[in-house]
Amino acid sequence: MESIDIEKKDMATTDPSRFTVKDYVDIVEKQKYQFDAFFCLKFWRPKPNLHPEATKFIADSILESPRMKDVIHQLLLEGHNGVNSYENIVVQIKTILEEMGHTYSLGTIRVIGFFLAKLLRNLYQGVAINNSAVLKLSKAMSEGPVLILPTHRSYADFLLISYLCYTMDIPLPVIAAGMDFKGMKFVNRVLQNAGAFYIRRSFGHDQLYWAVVSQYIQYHIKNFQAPIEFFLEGTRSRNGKSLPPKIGLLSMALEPYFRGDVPDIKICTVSITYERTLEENLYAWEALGVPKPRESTSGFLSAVGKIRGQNYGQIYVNVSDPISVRDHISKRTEPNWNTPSFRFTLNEYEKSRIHSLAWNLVSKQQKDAITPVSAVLMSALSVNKQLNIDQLVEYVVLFNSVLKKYGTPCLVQDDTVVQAIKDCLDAHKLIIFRASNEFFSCQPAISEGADIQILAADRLVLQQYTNQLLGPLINVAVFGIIEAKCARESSDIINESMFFAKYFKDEFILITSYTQNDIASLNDASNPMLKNVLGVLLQPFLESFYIILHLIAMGFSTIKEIQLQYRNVVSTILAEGASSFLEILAIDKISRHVLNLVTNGHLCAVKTGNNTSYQQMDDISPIIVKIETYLDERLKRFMVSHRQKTVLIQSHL
Amino acid sequence: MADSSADRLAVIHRHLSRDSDGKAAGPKVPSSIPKKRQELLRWNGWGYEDSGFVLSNLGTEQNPKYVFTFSGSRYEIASADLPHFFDWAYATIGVDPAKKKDPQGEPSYPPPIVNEGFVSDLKNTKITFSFEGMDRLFRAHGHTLHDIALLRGGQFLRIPDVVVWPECHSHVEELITLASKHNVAIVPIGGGTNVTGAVDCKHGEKRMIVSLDTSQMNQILWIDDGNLVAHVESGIIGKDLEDRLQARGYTTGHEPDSYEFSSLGGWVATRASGMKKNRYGNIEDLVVALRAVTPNGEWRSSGTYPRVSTGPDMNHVMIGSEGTLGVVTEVTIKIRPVPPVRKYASFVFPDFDCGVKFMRQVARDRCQPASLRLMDNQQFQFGQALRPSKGPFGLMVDGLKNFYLTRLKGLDIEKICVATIVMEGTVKEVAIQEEKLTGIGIEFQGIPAGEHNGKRGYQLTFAIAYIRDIGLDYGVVAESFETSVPWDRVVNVVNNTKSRLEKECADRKFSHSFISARVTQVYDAGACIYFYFGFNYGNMSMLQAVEVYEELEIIARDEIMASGGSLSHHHGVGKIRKKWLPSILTSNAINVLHSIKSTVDPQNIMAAGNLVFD
Repeated sequence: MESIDIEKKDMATTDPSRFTVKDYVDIVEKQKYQFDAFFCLKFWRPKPNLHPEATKFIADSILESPRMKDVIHQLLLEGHNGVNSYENIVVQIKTILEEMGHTYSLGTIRVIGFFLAKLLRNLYQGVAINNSAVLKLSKAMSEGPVLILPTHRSYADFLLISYLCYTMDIPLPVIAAGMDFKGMKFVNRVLQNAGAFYIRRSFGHDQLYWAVVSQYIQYHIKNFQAPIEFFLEGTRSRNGKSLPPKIGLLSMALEPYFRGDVPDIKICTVSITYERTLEENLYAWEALGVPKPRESTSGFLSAVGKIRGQNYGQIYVNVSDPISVRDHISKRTEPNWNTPSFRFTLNEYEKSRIHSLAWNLVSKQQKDAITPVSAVLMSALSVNKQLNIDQLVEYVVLFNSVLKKYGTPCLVQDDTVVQAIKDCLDAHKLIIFRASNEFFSCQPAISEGADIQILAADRLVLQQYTNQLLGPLINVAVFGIIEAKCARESSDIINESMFFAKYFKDEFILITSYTQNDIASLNDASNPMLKNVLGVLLQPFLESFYIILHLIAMGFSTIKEIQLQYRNVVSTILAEGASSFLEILAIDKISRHVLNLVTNGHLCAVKTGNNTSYQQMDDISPIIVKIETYLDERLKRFMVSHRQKTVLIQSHL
Repeated sequence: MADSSADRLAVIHRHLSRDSDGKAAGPKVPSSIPKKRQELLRWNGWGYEDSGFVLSNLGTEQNPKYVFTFSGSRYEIASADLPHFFDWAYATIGVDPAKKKDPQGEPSYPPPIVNEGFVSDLKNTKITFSFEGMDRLFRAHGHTLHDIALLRGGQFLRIPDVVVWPECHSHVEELITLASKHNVAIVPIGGGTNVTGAVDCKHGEKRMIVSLDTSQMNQILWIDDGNLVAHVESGIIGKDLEDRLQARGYTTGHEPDSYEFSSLGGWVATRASGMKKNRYGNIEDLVVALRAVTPNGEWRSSGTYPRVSTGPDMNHVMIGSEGTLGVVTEVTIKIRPVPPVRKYASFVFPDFDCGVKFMRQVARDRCQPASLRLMDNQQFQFGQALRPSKGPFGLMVDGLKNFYLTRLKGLDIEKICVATIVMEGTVKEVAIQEEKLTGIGIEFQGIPAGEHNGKRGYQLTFAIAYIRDIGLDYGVVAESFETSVPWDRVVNVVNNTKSRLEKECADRKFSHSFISARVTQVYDAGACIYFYFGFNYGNMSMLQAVEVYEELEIIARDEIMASGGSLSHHHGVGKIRKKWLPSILTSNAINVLHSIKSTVDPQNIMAAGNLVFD
């Protein structure tokens, strides 16, 4: 598959020093000396903007659309589930639209603005945003449809984007949200009034629903009065790294371009990073397998109560220059000779290009994410028992120099770095504590009998931040361990890098195999201190993968079984000291690895009823052998003996 | 794809599974005509089994009183006795109730030629097929006099060896691939209403003959309200197409007299014409795009464009190809909203000349209504004979009308002719049309004869097709044939042809014969003329009479062409008009046809043997 290089254009036209503090403005700061009431009543008339009566038009327009009519007539012809008249289906569609649709109203937005301003000022030290890109986004909005694709790390994301648009006089986006929000009484109404619409998490078999959703989204593309916002990752990433993209919504949204309904669609990715995430603890427990609490209004309010008065540090928002889809994917010219435009479907080529675009967009999101200072601090403190401010400054400077090339450095300058670190330490005082007068640490002394789950949860909170460093620097990290463990010849390094790129693609979006040129520049970037930090951060991922591979090789074939076994095995591993990484207790990687193995042809998904089991298509022991090279002897020995024991027990049975 | 969303997407796409043609998977709407056509249709004559003319004696044996009725309840004409018809039939064509000639029963069937390889491959497909005699016989013929005579009292030497029912484009592809592989002949058939011998099997065909019945490809794949086109599988029967479109508020407006039984694909393959072509166009105007399967692969339009300039129109290779190049499988056809108003009208003219002049002027002024026809005097008389019984008051009105026309207006009842008119459109459009037509009518000595007469003319259209069967019952052979003529030759062609046939009949000393003509279509540059010719064959055998008839039809065609008429307006060439092609086409044209054939069908799989092909 040809990859879509969305960077090329930007590189050519943008000055490399674009991420200096100068470009950034603080949108909360602006409000600090103003009454919130003034803010919420400010003159706000962006162009274009959703018509105040839009909701009514949308339903009529969708019902009158040729596509919708066609689907209705087809359903009538097929005579599915109690569908007996045109009117009957129209009622169903109206119900879906009512459940789904936003009820955009400027009044609500102003009220939300009032509270948001208060909340942001209360919780955060500031929200930094690259102003010049916002101006470009604003200009793109006046030219045609725009998709805003933010990273998704927190519920605060979409509030923030709307707030930002309101502040910067950009039409507020309509936002695709998961139907789970519907469970929150009152709050769901407020969000709908603010432009959120709800779609079910999966609706593959519901032709009517599929048609209504796609018509709904495409209505907003074709009548571009407001940008459409959705999350490419499909869900909040709970681990600080980008998730593999979901293609469905993007395909729907881009269809009008491929069909020729609009000349072009522009995409702005928005990378939002938090010095401290609201949900940090929640995520850690979810990764350990404690289910996510159901969204509810009371839960929401109590969460608001809990976080009030705490310091969540700085937020960084990096808006990309608008990416023109037309510049990257050309439309087909061969005639669609016997398909009317309302039955347009994307062809294989277009699907593969959209797929490729989606991956490139999440890569861009990951790469553009401004590294929070806390990511560097916690990474440094994960490797070192304790460090003082000067040492921490040294780490920040060191990583910033590498991040310039492989990611986006921390938003600090020589004269602000110390203050930034102090602010960050203050925000994270719950996990980074003062070990002595000058020294800071995040590795508490482990007392006997401490609950391993609680300890692991703490580690996983840390990992959410360290991953924000490992994510962009993954290639540097992998290069470091390849070089250290086995290979000196560049051809060997390239081969090894291909292995990692293949099996960790879903875990680390930016991972690639190397070319000769890459090796040269990776060599330049390498520094023993840096290699050491990154190597340690990467290690638990290799261990998890290794254990998962063993479990699959042992014949566990459903995600549930593997999760259960994984938890048992890892508990024993940690108890016996075969690994020192508590992080490996997290089970969130399992499904990503399994799906990756499916993609790579080692496993095959077999669906029986509601259960999916994964059958081995070939021998995966070569992968195990390969990954073993990079692991600690203790873990290898443990797994080998564990498998022998299991085989023994099975033979006894 | 690398993630669960990809899986989900795949599921979604599978569910929405349209194949590459944008066709939705779903239950099929059945055709109104069953696969076993003989269950609904008459196997040895026209139309529905339950409908037709019946002659019965209402009096006693000594004092008989014969009356015609029309059976069934499908047609308006069936609602009342036809008290005047017997007198007309007796006087004009010599129908003698005593000399009824019953048709033979179900004949024996020639054993099929079986290509084992083809049949065993066919069994591995999902395509249904039949070796049953009646299924094969039903598809061995069209509706020429010759075909019907053989069914009633003769024997087909060659009938299809197997009937197959493909259900979609890809089935047809499969079939034609198999046929090419095993060198088997394919003859496609739609409604089987041709009158040119187009689906009749060639006697010399030694290969297995597969009758490819398109009737199960009968779905409307989509309707595009925005562009007013529908994409339809070719086997759909005209009436089904019309009913289903009307349920959505649309019509194709294509209404050939056979539309209850003929198929879309058949219309395309014969270059059909419909009654209301003035408003909606002939089939070649209606087809926006088409798709066909040839032995050398797919043949299709480049897209559903309103018009293109990309070299010669390649759609026309298939339109009118009469089954010799490929099988038309899907057609994108124009549709129109059903007009709010349909109004009938009629004019009486003192003679045929005046009527033709009226038609000419309407064409010159380009104010053609949806349909415009001119009946000659014989047909006028015939139409009068078919009028239903009325109470005494009705008779009185008829008498008054007669009085008014003949005594006050001085018309000769033996010379007058009638123009019938259908107007469609909005109330306003129709009013304007009517006003214009009335003006022109009066200019050419026409007398408006009311809505009722016009309406009856059109209602009779479909029932009249049943008349040949009752004629054969009483020793009358009859057939219709058409031509197209430039305006300045219309009257000559009609007069010369009638005169020639009258002479030939006199020479042969027929007791009764009937020759009539009508102008059924007007164009800018000319008109379409329809001839009806029949005679009472007295003591000849039916098959002898058919031979004589064929001789006379050839004489008539020669006369038509010598007087300036064409070989065919819309029936096509088939097998019965092949012999004239070398004289009307240049050798270049014939060579081009052969080149096309050798490109798309070098093995002559599509062996219908029509047009210039063997």
